[in-house]
Amino acid sequence: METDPLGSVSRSKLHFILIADCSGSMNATGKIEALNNAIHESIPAIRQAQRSNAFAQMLVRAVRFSGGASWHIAHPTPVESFEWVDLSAAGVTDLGAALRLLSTELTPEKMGRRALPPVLVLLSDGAPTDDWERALEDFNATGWGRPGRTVRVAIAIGRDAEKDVLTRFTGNPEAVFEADNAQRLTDLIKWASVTVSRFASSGASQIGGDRAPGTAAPLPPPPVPVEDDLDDDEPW
Amino acid sequence: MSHGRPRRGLPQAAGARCLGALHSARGQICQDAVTVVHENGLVVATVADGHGHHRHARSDEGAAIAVELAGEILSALGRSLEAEEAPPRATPTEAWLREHLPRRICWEWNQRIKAHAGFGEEADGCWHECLELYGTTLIAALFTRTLGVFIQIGDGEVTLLDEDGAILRPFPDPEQNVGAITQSLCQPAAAAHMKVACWDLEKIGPRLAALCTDGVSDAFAERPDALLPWLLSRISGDGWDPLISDLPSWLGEVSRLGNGDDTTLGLVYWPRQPERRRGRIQTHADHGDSLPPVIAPLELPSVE
Repeated sequence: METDPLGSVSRSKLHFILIADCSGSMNATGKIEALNNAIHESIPAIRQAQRSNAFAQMLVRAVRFSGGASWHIAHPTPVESFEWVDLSAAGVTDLGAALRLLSTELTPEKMGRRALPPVLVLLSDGAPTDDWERALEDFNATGWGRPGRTVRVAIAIGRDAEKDVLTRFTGNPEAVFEADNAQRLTDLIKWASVTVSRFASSGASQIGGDRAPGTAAPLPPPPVPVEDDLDDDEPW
Repeated sequence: MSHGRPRRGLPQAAGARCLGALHSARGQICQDAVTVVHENGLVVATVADGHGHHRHARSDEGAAIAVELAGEILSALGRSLEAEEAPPRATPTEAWLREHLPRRICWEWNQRIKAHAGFGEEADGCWHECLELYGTTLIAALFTRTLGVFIQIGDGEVTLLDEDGAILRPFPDPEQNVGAITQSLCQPAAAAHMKVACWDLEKIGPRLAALCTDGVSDAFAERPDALLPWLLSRISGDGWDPLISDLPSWLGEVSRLGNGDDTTLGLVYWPRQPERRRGRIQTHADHGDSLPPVIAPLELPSVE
């Protein structure tokens, strides 16, 4: 008798990808340190969320972009073994290079056809310096980049971030959030990695025909800024 | 053609569904539905998966209505195909079905949902935004003696295992079917998204057909071709009835180990029939006595 294929049944994969701006301006007022600290602080909450989710396997990756782009965490890493190596900042803001890198990975051949919608979190403090619009168009035409296949969130780090660009990435102004201090950045990264990931792993199907680049369903509400924290931190 | 293929017996069919482990933990009900219609050698199997999103809060009802009406429409189609003097050929039948079947099913689903929703005499088959509450996928298969007719709108899968052990899919996964996007009966242009295929069963020589919702097909995404050979080996080893009685609990395990979705499977199985042996009329002379004539051995019933 053939072997019962139950042995090959596995939980759905939830790909969580951080896309981090590492341009020189991220050195100003400690933004890159705040980003590194925020991710370190989020790891216990992400692991806890994974332990309470029996039906999805969260896999973490990270892309860094400045002059060009490269994988900071190339292999889809289970959160149980996810460690964060600090990023450093220098150079320009080649967002387009990061999107092209994603286009080569978020294909049906590399990710399979059926998985939970990948969660893409773009963090940036400035304006792109390369041909990002063409790269975004291409990404939005790629298998998993096509409308409604991903859940996209963008975090504008400081007031100089180009929110219009971030909105073009998410396709939804309500999926763009401003972090103007370290505590707010930490709160938003925790929210994106725990709450938004849980939302993405709900498993509900979406009807074809949605045209927004990210998910058409409203995101769960973000954390409310705490006034005391705003007073304590230096605003960016 | 059928030359050299073992003869198929009458098909057996059954279906089962299981509330998903994640849905159970959330206090939700099963949003999948399954029916099997079995009459005079015709088999219709249908499965449907109501969308889980809160925008489709009555999708369990939409799925139940979908499988019921698909069972009725395909049964009637099967009876008319069987009534043809000459067995219908697959290619022209498919062309005709593509033109008529999706519109008929979508119109009737709209009509029944609207009647169910209290539209009264205004319950026609035109699209209405209220249909979204009942959104569901639908997969159905009709098997006559000579043809297999398949329809699908939305995710899930219909798969066949042939005499040679090959896996056949009437609707190979299209390139654009990536992620949790699905087409639905509740869409305004649903008929345009419904896929139709008609196959000549004599050419295929099917042993087993499975219709499953995405709770099953996604769970086996790593080894999509492993399920049917295992099911057939269980039928060959333990028998059809034990497999069918185990199916609900097995589907529960698929959900528990997989993504927690509802899991539903419709199965059609064609047993092999023993080779027909040539009959011979015995005569008084053969026996050399005065016994009445008998036919020996008995003619086996013709294949249906």
